Amino acid sequence: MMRCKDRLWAVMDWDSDLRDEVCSSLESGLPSRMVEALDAVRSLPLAQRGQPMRIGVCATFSIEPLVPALELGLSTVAISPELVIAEFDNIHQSLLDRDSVLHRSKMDAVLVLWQAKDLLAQLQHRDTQSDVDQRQQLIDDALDDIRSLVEGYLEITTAPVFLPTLSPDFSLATDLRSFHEHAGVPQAIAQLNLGVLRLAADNPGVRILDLAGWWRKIGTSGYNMKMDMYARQPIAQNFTGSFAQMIAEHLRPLTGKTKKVLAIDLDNTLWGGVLGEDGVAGLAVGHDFPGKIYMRIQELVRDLRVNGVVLILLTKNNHSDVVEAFAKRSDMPLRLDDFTVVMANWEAKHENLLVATESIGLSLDSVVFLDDQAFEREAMLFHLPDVTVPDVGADPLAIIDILINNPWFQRYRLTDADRNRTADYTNNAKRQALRASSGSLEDFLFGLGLRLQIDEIDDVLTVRAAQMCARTNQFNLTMRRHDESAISGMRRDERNILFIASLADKFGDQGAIGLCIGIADDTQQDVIEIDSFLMSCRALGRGIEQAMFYTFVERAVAAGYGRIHAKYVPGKRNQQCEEFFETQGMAVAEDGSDGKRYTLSLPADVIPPAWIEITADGNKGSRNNAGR
Amino acid sequence: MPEDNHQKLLSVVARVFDVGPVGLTDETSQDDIDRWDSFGMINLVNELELSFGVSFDILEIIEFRTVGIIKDSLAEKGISFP
Repeated sequence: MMRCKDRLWAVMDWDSDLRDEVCSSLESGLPSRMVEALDAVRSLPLAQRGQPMRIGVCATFSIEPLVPALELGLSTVAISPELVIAEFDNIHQSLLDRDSVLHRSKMDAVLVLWQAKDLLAQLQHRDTQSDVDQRQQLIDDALDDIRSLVEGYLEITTAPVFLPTLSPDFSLATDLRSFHEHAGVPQAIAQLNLGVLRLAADNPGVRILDLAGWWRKIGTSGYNMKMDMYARQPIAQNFTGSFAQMIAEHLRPLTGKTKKVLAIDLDNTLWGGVLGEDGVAGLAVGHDFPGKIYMRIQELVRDLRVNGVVLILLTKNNHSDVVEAFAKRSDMPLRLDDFTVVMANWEAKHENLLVATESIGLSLDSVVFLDDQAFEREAMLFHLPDVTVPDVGADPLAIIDILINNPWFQRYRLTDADRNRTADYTNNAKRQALRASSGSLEDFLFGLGLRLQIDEIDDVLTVRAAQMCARTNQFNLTMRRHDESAISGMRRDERNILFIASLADKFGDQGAIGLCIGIADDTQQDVIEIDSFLMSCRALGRGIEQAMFYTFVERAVAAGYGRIHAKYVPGKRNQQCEEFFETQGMAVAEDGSDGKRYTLSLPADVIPPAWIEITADGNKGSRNNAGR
Repeated sequence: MPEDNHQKLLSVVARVFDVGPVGLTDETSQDDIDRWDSFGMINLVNELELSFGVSFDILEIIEFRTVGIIKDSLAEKGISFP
């Protein structure tokens, strides 16, 4: 299993002492140490404590003794939890009663924790179940009950409910005979698990908590029969930290913090041997030992790509040698074009990674770097501390383990956006390649055939607009995080100007990339204030922001405004757009500690980039700038 | 070191129930410490077992009403006290 420290990437801004303290207290299982570590976490500034979430727990065993462990475990995945514990062993009422504690306030997730023995209580008494049909009926009833429980729950709330997989409890009789009969305990557990998994596959509101998988990994030493009998607390104390981390890993995707890029070394990582020394013929990858190790690694890396992870190859080799090797070894699971960017040269890997992430417009903190060489890992960490660099030693099996058990690329479901991501970024990389081969930058931009579509925000785009407010950190002038209801509110005032910009070029459609919101000033009738102005970093470097600003000015003039006010609000990562309003010809009205204020008198002479064709909704006010 | 085990026991009790070790004696009982309730008992037993490397029988736990009784139980398991 992965070490605690390798799982802590979500809380990179903690100092190493705190990380050590949190990990060692979780491993110790000592409640008092966990409480101390928890106090240390709670004394951090809010921003470092993770995302606040309210998490409901209903269980057939007592959760209270596990609370410090759970809170601490969740803090390691950047969740700052408020745990709401439902009445012990009262799951039905807790989930279905609109007045129960789980429904009194809005939850972000609800965990159900039960064990096979709770669902199959009657089945374990052999004397009452001589008849197979009768036993099967008990199983069917239990499953129907789970289904109606979930359906009833989801009628009340949209907070996802996590159901556990079941394992043969240590107190359930699974003797040899039980494996050889119909509707015995092993069959019952298999049927219930199948039913629960199908429920999750069919229903986005249902998520799985792989409790059985956890019990399997830790084994009988994790079960404390004494405390189970004495206090309904079945989890052995020294495994409470492990239990909490298991729960945390299942909730981690709720924070939306997942990695998008795997940057990976080639020699002795994706194949055995060193291309420059051993030649193509000397590379180990295939069906024999040791080639099968690297075969497996390549299969797992390819699986990640299929699941929407962007691959970057970072190797110190001659580019032509790498191309030749992949061409000659077409029997390998990975092909060279599975990599969105291939950096095969003799430059430092951190410099190559910078170039690569820039070409596809992804940030360094979305990257995981795998390399068999300690030097390369250290160098990467030293130069680019935002990159996640797991310590895989020199053992290729550790790479397999980390690819299988990684927490970075986990998600509950694959969306169309995930599926399209790799294609999207591949196109970005191609744009970049074209840029390198084109003469001037302007020639390059004209060659892209950029089309910017401006749409007023309707109900559908409101959802998208709120997502953009939540996610855009770099090119975001005011950093305002409006939610859907706030945006709907602003739409209601007809004096306001709100639009979304979508980008397409000859490589494909990039979808909505920019958002602009102007709010009419209530005190000065002829003034409109730019409330939000933001753009996805995927669209940077093409003058799109200029075209958006032009569009805003054009609309403000058309609406009869005499002046635009704007503000730049400094955030953690938006320095790159600090000068934007100046570059658009706005005058600085005030340079305060909370940001700069700008003003622009209308009509103003604002010119959009000639290489962008701007079209507006319903073609009203459309303007064609294409061509020179 | 027998003296150490006495101190160790008191410090476990103190940290589990979040009280100062100064006033604790063999006579300190469940009635003297607010947090020594049923959940507190679970933490106490778990912490004692992990700290001393012992395992109590389930029927022993029920008797744990004072520090002295816990001490006797630890002594029976080979932990030496003065």
